[in-house]
Amino acid sequence: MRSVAKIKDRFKIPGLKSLKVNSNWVFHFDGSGCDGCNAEYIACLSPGWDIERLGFRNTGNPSYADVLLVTGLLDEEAKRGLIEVYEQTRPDCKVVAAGVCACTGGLFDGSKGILSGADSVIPVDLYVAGCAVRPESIIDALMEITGNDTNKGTPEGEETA
Amino acid sequence: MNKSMFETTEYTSRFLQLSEVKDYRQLVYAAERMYGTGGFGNSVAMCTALEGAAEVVIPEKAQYIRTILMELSMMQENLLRLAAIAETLNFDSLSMMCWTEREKILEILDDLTGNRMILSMCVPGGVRKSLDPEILEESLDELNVVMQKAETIKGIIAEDSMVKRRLRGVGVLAKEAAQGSSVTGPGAKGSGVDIDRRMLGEYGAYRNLDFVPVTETGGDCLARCMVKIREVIQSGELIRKAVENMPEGSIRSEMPAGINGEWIAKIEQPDGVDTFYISGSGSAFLDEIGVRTAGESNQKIMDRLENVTLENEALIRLTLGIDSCLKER
Repeated sequence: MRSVAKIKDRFKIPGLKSLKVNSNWVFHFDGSGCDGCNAEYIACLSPGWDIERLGFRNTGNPSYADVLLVTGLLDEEAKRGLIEVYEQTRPDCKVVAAGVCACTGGLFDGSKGILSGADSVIPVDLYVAGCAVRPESIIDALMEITGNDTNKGTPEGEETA
Repeated sequence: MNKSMFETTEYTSRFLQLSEVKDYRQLVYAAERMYGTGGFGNSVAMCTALEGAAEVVIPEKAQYIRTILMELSMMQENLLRLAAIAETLNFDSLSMMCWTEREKILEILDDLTGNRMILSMCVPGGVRKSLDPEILEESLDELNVVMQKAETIKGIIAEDSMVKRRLRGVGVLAKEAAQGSSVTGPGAKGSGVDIDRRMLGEYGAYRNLDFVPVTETGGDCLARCMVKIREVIQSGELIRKAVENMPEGSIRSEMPAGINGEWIAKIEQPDGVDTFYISGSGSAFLDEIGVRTAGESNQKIMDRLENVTLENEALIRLTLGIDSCLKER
C-alpha cells in the first residue's frame, strides 16, 4: 500500500494541502430564485463546460463538500434549508454566493419575505455577480476559492512531476 | 401537489409586489426574472399587454426580432426539459446530448444579444437593439448543426427501446379530457389538441410564417416528449423563415408616459400558455397585474390522467410541465 508520504514524494508536491487543490467537491444549494443561475450551474456540469475536468465534483452531501455554492434568491423557506445545510458542512468549507440574488437580493431586494443575499444568513467567502451568472464566472470563482490553478500554468517556485 | 401550488403562487406574488414600487418599464425586467430559463417569453407577454393597453402598434421589424429570440429561447428551454427527462430516465448520454445542443443555442443568443438566458431585449414599444445581419448568418449555419442533432435525438426518443418502455402508455391524457380542461402546451398537443397561441398571431410575426402547431396522438409521456423535440426542429425552421423575411425599418415606437386601459396577453411557452393581465389608469404605475403561469393551469390535470404510479410521477410532471425540473416562478 502506498503511503501518503510516498505519493507526496512521487509527485513532488510540497504539502498534502496541494493534493486537495485539484480535487474539490461542490455542494450546490439553490434558493427560491428564478432558476437561471441554477440552470447555469447545471450547464457547468454538462459537456460544454465540464467542471469535472478541473477536479470539481458535484456532491449531494454537504459533509463531503469543499465548496458550498449558493445560487438564487433566499426567502424564509430557503433560509431554513440553507442553515440546515451549512451546519452539516465541515469547518473549512468555503461558501460562494453566485448570482446577484444570492449576493444582494438583486431586483427583488426589499420585497416581502426576501432576504438581502446569502450573507444575511451565513458567512460568504466569495461573491460572483451576474444575472444570470455565467458558467465561466462560476468556474473562475470555484478555481479562485480553492486555489485550483489547472489552466493557469504552474505557479512560480514549484516543480512539475 | 398542494405544496407546489403554494410555491407557484408565492413566487408569482413576489413579482406582483414589485409593481407597487416599480413603474411599468422597470416591471418588464422584473417579469423576465420571474422565470430564468424562459424569461424572454415573460417579457414579451408583459410588453404585449402594455402595448395593447396603450394602443401602440410596434414596428414589423421588432416583431420579427422578438419572434427570432422567442423561438431561440423556446428551443433552449425545450432541450433543457428533454435533458431533465433523460436524466430522470437515467439515460445520461441522451441528457448530455441535449445539454450540448442547448449550449450551442445559448452561444447564439449570447452573440446576438449579449446574454445567455435573461436577455433584457424586449422593451415596451419594440426591442432594445437590432440584430447584426452577419452574426445572424453565422447563427443560421450553427442552427443547421443543432437541427441535424435534434433529428438524431428525435430518432433516439422514437426508437430507443428503453425510452419506449419507460414512457409509452404512462400518464395517458385522453383527447376529450384534454379538451375539457385547462391543460395547454405539450400536455394538450401530445393528446392531439392543436391549440397554440402562436396560431392566433397576437404577438410576434407568426402570422407571416405559416405556423402550424405540432401534434401527436398518443397522449402519453412519449408523445409529449416527441412534441418537445419536434418543437425544437420547428423552432429552427421558424427562425430561418423569420430571418429570410425580416423587413427593414425602425425597431421601436414611442410609448406614452402612463398606461390607461387594460389588456390580457397570452404567450405560448414550452410548458403551455402564460397569461398576463394588466390595467392602469393613466399613471406610470399600474393599477393591477395578474399572472397565471403554464404550470398553474397544467397542474389541475393530474387527477384526470390514466396509469399514474409513484415511480412515474416525476416523468409525468416533467413532460406535462408541472413544477418541472426548473419550476415556474
